[in-house]
Amino acid sequence: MTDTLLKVEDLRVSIPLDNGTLNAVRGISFDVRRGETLCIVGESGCGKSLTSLAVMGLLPKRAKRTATTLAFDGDEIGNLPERRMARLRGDRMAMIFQEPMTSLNPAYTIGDQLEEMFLAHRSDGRRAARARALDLLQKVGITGAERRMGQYPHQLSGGLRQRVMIAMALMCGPDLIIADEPTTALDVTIQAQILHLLIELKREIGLSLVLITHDLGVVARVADRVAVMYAGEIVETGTAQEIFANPQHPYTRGLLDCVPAPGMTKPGEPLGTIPGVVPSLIGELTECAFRERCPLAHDACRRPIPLYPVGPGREVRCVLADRDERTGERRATA
Amino acid sequence: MTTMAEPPAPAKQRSTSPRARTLRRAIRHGGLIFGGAVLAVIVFVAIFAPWISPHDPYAQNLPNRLIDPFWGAKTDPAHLLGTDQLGRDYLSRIFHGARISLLIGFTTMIVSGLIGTAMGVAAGYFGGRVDDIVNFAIVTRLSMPVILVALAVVAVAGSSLTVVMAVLGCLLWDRFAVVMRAATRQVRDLEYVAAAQALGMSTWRIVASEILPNVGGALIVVATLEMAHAILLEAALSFLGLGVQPPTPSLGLMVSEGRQVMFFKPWLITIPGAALFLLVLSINLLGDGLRDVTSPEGRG
Amino acid sequence: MSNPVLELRDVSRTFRVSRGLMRGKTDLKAVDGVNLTLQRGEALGLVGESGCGKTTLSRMLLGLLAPSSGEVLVDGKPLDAKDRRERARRIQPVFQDPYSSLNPRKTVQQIVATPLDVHNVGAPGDRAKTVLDTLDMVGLPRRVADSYPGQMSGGQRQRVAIARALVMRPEILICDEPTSALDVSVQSQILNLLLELQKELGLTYLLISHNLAVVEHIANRVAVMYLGRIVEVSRTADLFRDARHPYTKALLSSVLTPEPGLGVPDTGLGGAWPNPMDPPTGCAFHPRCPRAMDVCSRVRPATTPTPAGRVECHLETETV
Repeated sequence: MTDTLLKVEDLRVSIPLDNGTLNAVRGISFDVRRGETLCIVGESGCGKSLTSLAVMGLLPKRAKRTATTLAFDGDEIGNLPERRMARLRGDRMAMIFQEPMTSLNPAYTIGDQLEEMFLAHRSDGRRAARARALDLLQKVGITGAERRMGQYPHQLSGGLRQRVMIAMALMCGPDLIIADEPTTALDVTIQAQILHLLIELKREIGLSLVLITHDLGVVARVADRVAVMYAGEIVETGTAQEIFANPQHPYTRGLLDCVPAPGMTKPGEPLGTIPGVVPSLIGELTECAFRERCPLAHDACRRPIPLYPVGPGREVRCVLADRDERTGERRATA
Repeated sequence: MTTMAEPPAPAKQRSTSPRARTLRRAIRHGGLIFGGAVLAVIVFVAIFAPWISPHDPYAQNLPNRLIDPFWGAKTDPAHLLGTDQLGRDYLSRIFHGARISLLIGFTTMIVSGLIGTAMGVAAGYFGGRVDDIVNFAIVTRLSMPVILVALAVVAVAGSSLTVVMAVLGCLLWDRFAVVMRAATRQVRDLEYVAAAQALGMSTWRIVASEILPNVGGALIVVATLEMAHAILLEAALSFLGLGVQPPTPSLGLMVSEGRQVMFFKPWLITIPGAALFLLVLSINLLGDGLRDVTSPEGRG
Repeated sequence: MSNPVLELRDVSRTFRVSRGLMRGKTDLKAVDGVNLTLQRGEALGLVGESGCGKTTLSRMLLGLLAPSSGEVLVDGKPLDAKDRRERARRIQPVFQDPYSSLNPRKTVQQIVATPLDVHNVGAPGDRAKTVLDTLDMVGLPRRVADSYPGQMSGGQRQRVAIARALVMRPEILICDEPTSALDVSVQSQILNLLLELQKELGLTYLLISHNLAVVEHIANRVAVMYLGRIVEVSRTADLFRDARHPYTKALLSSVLTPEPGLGVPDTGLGGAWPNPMDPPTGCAFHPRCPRAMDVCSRVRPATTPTPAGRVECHLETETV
């Protein structure tokens, strides 16, 4: 039983298109330790959703995935045949998607779907499945669980459906849950409830959580560690405290300046902006992907930039990482 | 003033209008090209039939009847596809037959298209009672067998090209209505329609400038398919004697007339049959191709 | 003293919906006796979650839906169907989804010129210039006039939508979640643009959003909506500092600012969820209210004025 539950090294995902190959994920590496919450944050098109699908082996057929290491609990899963991967999925690694209406089958009751999740991986029989389903429904805060078991997805609200999704993910007691924008489609008060629930469960069961989102507020409140993604790469990693108190990458800084926050930004005053658009990922990029939009860009940025370590668990994909941007001198590691 | 914060080049590679993109996809679609090419040839033949036909399709020449086509035993280079029981040149009759089929196809498509589109768009856009009425009309129409209605009309009005066009035009609008209604409903709920309404745009104008251009793709596909449908129906009606009357060279009628000598000279029915098949196939391929090419991705 | 450019007086809107295949129809009161005023030159934020009726309310203001009861007044005069075009010249929308708010078959030039054509504003020859001037105003380069929406990014499309709304120089913009479908980095650009345009053109905004941070940044007054009713209205700063209604407090506590270490609070709202088809008796919020009293399930609370606005809650009247 290793402490590192998920280890990903140099993951790449490419999708062949009519006019070239889209390199959607361009070599990312990250670890998830037991009981830790890692948030992967980025805007649309950065590759965060494809990363989660790649780890779970759920990429569409035409997408190609390569990785130096893709290991779950010490075992390499990158080359597993689909049959073995399917056994892992739902059992030890579970996924929660953004749209609970389309992730739940409208033709079956909640109870049926929950039980099926259990029975697919355990041979304990339907009685045990039902008992566990009821237990979990209560745990996720659904009252009247008995009645809910017989209901269909359309009879539940969005928030309730997402709670059912969480219960379903927990049916077999997984070690890792990957949640892709699990609360984006929900109202703010419901979002708060769901996130509060996930944090509680994490504490109770010792779950590891990979949370993918574009919402910096969610990241700040939920994450232990953060990986910021841009144009298919991770551009900065660190603890939530480090990232928000002292963002190093110009993109991270730009993002944080953009977000209006009551008590932090001044109402009526212009917010920070990031000019420009994300570069095309079709074909090869031979320079820093953020160079055209970066206020600190210079000639050294016209080559592929590696991740520079600036502290334990702290990396930045920027040539200025360990230099003070004004004086150009090397600074003490953060 | 907030200066331009985004450079003009979009992150995506597309830099062409929706029309240009659709055209590019069309060129790559095999079925569409093949169907379109064959149909183009047939249309050309049909339009110029009077000038390119080697003989008069009505000219009877009894001593020369039942000559085989060029691959048969008893051939004559002046009649590439042979002659029928009355000595009329078959090639010329096929050319003129195609003309009739296409004429019926186009006219019916336009008449039924106008009726069906008007009903479908109205039902889709207004909903409520209008929708109920149109749905009722569609259901009523679908419960009527076309052949029997044609029979009844012919009994009253006699059979001719005009009667066939009128009957088919007034009966084949149902698919137009159904498809246009669905397409309109999809578009009606989009925000640019709400924006047009919030603008105080008149209903006519909204339908013309916001709805119709965006359901055009579906319309073209249904139109081609209904054209093929109309051609086959006319052939069936003429075969049964309810449509075009002899000596007019309708392909269906030619099949019917060839029945008498079917076992001795089978090509009298296989040639018009093959011509019909080719015509309908090319129209269907074109329609399928258009549907593929104008599918949602093509709508930007 | 006050200068209401837009006013809703006891406006309600009911829909007849079917409850399912065999269960007949029922009335859904999407908007329930709403009173609201919009002062000239202000930005009023309207916040609420799904099912609260804010979209229905905005559609009534835009003339896309008629109220079932009550009146909508523009500059003190009631509007009826005949004045649809008049209303359109003064009130324009900016919608949420930049991907469906522009006709994909029209060029930007055609889209932005449409209001001018429909209302016959100015000479036809001058309209192209007005369009280009408006594009300048929203920060788009003039050459996009010949582009189609499909060739543009989400942020650019939203700018086109704003240009279309502004080309006739309306007084009021109804912005329905104008940035919710945009990336964070684009959202800030659009918000900055909206702020700037308000200053430059003296616009009045009704900003509908579920994102309280955005509302706090733009609006000077906020109205909170729940299940068809306005439960609290207040000046923005006062609302965020000292909200009175328990729902408002829960909403505010759900705002997750990017401050690490604060965790996610328990909103205390319990498991029930608001169903507009089956509204609770008395105060619509009482099943989820952490401070509900016995009277809350029986009697609808009256509106109490507060220093910064007004609130509808029994807690206010009980403590008096």
